[in-house]
Amino acid sequence: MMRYLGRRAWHSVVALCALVMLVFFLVRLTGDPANLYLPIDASVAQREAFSQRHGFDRPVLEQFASFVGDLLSGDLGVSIRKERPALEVVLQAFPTTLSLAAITMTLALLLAVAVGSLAAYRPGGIFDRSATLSSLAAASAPDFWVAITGILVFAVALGWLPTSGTGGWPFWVMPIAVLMLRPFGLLVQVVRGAMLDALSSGYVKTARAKGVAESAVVFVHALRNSSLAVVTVAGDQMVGIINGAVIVETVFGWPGVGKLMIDAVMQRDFALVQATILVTASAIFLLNMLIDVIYVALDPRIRHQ
Amino acid sequence: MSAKAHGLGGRAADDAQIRRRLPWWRLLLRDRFALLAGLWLALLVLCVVVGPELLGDAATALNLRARNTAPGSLETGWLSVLGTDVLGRSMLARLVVAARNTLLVAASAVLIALVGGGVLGMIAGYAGGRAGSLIMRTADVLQSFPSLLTAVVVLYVLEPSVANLVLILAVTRLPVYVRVARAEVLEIRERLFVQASLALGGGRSHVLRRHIAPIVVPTLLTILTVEFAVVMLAESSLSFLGIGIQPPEITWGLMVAQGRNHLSAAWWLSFFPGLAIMLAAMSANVLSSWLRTVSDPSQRWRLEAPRAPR
Repeated sequence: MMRYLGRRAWHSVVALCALVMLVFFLVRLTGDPANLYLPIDASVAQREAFSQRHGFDRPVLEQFASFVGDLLSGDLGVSIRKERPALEVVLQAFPTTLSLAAITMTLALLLAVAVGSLAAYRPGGIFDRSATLSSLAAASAPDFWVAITGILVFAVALGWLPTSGTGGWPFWVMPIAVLMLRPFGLLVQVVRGAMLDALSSGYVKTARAKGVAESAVVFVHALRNSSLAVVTVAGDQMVGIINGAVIVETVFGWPGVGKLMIDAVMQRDFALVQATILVTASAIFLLNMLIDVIYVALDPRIRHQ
Repeated sequence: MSAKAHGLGGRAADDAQIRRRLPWWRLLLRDRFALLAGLWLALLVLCVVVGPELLGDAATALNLRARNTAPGSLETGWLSVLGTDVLGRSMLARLVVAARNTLLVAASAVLIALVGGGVLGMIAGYAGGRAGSLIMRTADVLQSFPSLLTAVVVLYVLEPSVANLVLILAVTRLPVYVRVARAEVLEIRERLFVQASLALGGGRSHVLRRHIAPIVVPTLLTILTVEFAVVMLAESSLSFLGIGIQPPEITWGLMVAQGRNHLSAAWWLSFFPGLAIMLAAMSANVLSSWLRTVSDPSQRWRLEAPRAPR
């Protein structure tokens, strides 16, 4: 088990290095930042001074060597735009996105387990059919459109919720609701499918024959055995939530990592792009490791392989 | 529980009657939602094929006197039934015309990912070794990184043209096919007919093409419809962020973004394109879950059996 986790960690580190290299060279192909930051009529001397100050005039390989050197000492460079260490800027935005993602995922999981289990309990019934249809709708709705429509209805027309920004709980309602839709819709379908299989299995019949309470049959026997499939999809959706966060943070004007990333790419803020990607990717790789551990905790069969 | 028991009982009783299998279209007629989804997608395909030729002029015709007409009024002709935009262009006509870009981008990205991912996955599964593990590691990295961010970075390096958009959408969806194809191949290559063909002197590429591919491809095709919905949503997000399809070309995602500036004055400008995206994605999802049931022999009875009495 430890060997397996160790191998996974090693793979993650290699992948992370590959990613860092890729981003470094890709980002430098996007164009000269001097064009973006200096006025159009800037003199050649001004441009050169700018490039020199930020090290853009040196050969790319030399830039890369010094980048790796700085990286090893924990220095991710300075954001040109914000004129502050890039890592500091990213770490400041990170908690916003993290708490948004964590709350969203927890709510989506809890709701999906409840709705999916109920739907699977009476397949073909009224509840099952409406749950299936609405989960399909939730999984198919474009998040940016739901966000805009939500603002139109709940903020502009009804005035119940703020249009954008951060603050007390009313500011959290719409972003979380929008972000939740896709994972919730997909998870309901997964929970339902896995529970259908589990409820028609031999061990559930045995449990019922022994006279185990029906609630225990559903929530202990069947649910625990369905949880593997659910954890897999939930883990994948955690990555997908970052996609959603980019959109949601842009529409609702949240100072999170998603918005930071888009802005950094658009403003050619190299150091900031690299720092955001590195931090996000590390978080995702850590999460994947965590999912592996949860797997083993849930399914003892894996431990003995 | 009870519904399932009815279904099983009904199946046994009618087994004699349903000896021969119902053709797929009879099954489609029996499932209301799947039928609706199929019809809607067929209508969209029609829009893709003839839409721009039929309504292309109407979609670009300016009519400043009929600016921002609210939907539901027929005063300025039936084309403004879904309202008009700030330049008086018909919403309905623009939606029909934009269907071509939206659906063709998604369809080509899905097909490229299917072919590329299928081939790579089969190689990874059959050859294994270094090439195999390199393919799988790359797929892992691609899958563990948010596809939207990958697309944002790449589309900034390359120009956001249609070809690049299709390519990056395809690449970010590759891992799905690679994994499925590899898992299938790992199982199939141990089967007797593969061993027999190898023993009879069949080359590796012969075995891969004649014996393994015919079994893997149908499995990949079942993912196709659901992936179509995913890719269409991804393209819409990119176009919404302004790094997908560029004006004057239009897609539904871009139309939502453009309408966003006139949200309080003309809500329909964003609402209908978004609704179009959602209905198309939902149809694809409904149809894919129907296809899964039809193609799964252990589930097909649910559709073939007469409706269970409630």
